[in-house]
Amino acid sequence: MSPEIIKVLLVEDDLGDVELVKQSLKRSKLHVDLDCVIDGQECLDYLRRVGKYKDASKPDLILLDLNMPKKDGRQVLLEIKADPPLRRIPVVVLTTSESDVDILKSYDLGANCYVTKPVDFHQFSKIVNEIAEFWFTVVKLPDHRGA
Amino acid sequence: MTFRFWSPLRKNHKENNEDWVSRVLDAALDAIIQIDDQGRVIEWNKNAEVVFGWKREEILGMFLSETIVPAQHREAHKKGLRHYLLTGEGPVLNKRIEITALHRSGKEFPVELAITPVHLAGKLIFNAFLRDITGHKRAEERFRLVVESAPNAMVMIDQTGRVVLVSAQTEKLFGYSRQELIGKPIEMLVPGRFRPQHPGYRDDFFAKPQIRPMGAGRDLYGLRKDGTEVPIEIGLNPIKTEEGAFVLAAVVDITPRKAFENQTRDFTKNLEEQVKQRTLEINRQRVAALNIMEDANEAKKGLEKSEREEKRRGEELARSNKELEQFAYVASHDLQEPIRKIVGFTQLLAGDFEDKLGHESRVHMDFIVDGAKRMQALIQDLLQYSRTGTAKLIFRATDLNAVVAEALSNLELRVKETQAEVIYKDLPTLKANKIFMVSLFQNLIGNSLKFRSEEAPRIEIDAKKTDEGYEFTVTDNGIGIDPQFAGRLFVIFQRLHPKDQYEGTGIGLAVCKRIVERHGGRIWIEPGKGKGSMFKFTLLGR
Repeated sequence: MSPEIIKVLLVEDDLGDVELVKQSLKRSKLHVDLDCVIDGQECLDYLRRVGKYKDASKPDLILLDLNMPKKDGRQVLLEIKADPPLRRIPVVVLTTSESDVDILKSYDLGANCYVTKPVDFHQFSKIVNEIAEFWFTVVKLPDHRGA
Repeated sequence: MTFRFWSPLRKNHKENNEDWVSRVLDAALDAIIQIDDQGRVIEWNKNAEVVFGWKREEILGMFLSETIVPAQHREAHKKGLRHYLLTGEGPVLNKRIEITALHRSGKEFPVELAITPVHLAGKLIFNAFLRDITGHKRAEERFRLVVESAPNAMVMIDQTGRVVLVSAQTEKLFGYSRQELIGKPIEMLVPGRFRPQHPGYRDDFFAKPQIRPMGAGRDLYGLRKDGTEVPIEIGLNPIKTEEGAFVLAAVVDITPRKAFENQTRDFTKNLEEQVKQRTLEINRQRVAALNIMEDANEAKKGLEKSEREEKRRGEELARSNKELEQFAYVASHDLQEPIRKIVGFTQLLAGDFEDKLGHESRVHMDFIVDGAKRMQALIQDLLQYSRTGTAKLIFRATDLNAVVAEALSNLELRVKETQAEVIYKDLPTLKANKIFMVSLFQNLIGNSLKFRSEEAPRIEIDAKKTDEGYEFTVTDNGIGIDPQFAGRLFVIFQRLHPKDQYEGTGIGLAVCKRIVERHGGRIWIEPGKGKGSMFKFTLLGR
């Protein structure tokens, strides 16, 4: 398998976390093209190529934080999974919350997996890379790029 | 001769006022007959003609014994006359007697008779006054029959209290024959104890005779010939006759009625007693019911009050739970974000400048990371502790043997590492929250594993039944607990040992205390045997 560039959309309002994810992926063997939006509304605009995102391409994976200003992660999840062209994009909920309610709610809304961010950066980095590896090397995804 | 007697009278009257004498004799209501000492009729008035059917002219000079004296009395008549002439004694003279007379037609009938001997001019004559008492007799007979046929005993007494008439029922009732009673004082039928007053009552009655029951309000008894007494009721009827006043007493044997009355009284009394008892019973029950109702009302009021309070508390709790959830969320998410940044970027920096940093700087960076991590642990423990106090608990029958097994399975790695031996058996099954129970035993066992001595940990878990439930003992052979710290032991984040020696925030026993208390029990430590610690706690045996 030739090294492909994988497109990941990170939906995260905390710039510190954005940086940590970036740093983690930088240390990955995978070629990841990371785009970031800072709230739910931006995320949906991006996915639907609205306004300044009219040239945006569809991501292969979405890393979604739950607690954000404006439209939060739950609302975004609901809209993505209700939108046929978008629903096939795997969504990984990446959050600090360990709340059972958040976990159950996320899966109910169609999250493909739910991951809690570890405090330790090394562990965090490891998890981010494992997520990327899992979704792009282990899991067989629908080929939407040509579609 | 007879004329001599009569002549002076009649003749004189004939001469002087013959008509007047004749009229007197003839106007008399009674039959008036005069006989001489031989028994021959010498005078015969008009009424005598009517009564006996003989005309004066026909009978004058005839023997009385051959005319109006019935055959069966003729000898006695003659004898009596002779006896009087000889002795001057005549038991039938000068008194009222009743006797049977003979009508000219041959028919006999009762007469009332009074004979008076009169000596007049040396001659003995007898004046007789007679009255036909057939009517009387018939009435008397009717009266006697009525009395006789009365269903109860009838006794008639005269003013002196002597018995003049009794019925067959009287004989039957008192056991005396008629002959034994007639002419005797009525008091012979009165029991001795009433006898003294009786003549007084009798006189009172004759003084004011009227039909009335005797002995109103008193229980009356009659005395039988055999000495026994019989309960009676007596109705008194005054009877006025020419012969004077009498009292006819109707005597009723009330033995059956008394028996019935007694029965009825007993029955009534019994019934009354039963009613009384039942009423008491009902009253008791009613009182009990009222008490119960009152209690129920009180309880209801109390319940309503406590329901209101419960509701208010519930609302408060809901609000505070809501706030707590908010807090928990903040704690689990927002408070940890900054910590992760501190840790993350410190670690990034340490990596970036790995070659350039001196040893000291790396140690400082480690302190940053450790401190931040510790902060995160504290936040999470605090969260757990607060959830222990507020989480809604579901209590189900929980087998504590299974609970300990699960706790040990959670601690499996540390048990293996320390080569610990955990001894427990026959722990009870009781109503509890299983998750909390696992947490409780896991914390206690974990505590023993953590504060082990140099020996391999040996932990014993025991339960013994108490009045309210169970008392558990968890003993170990660890380093033990200094009794002076016992009070601080169950307080959150209280540590008895330096952080670098034993990890942990000091949350475990505080959580244990909360779990035990939420199950209605308490937890404490006791000085163990030798070294080691001994934890005790109770749980309700629900």
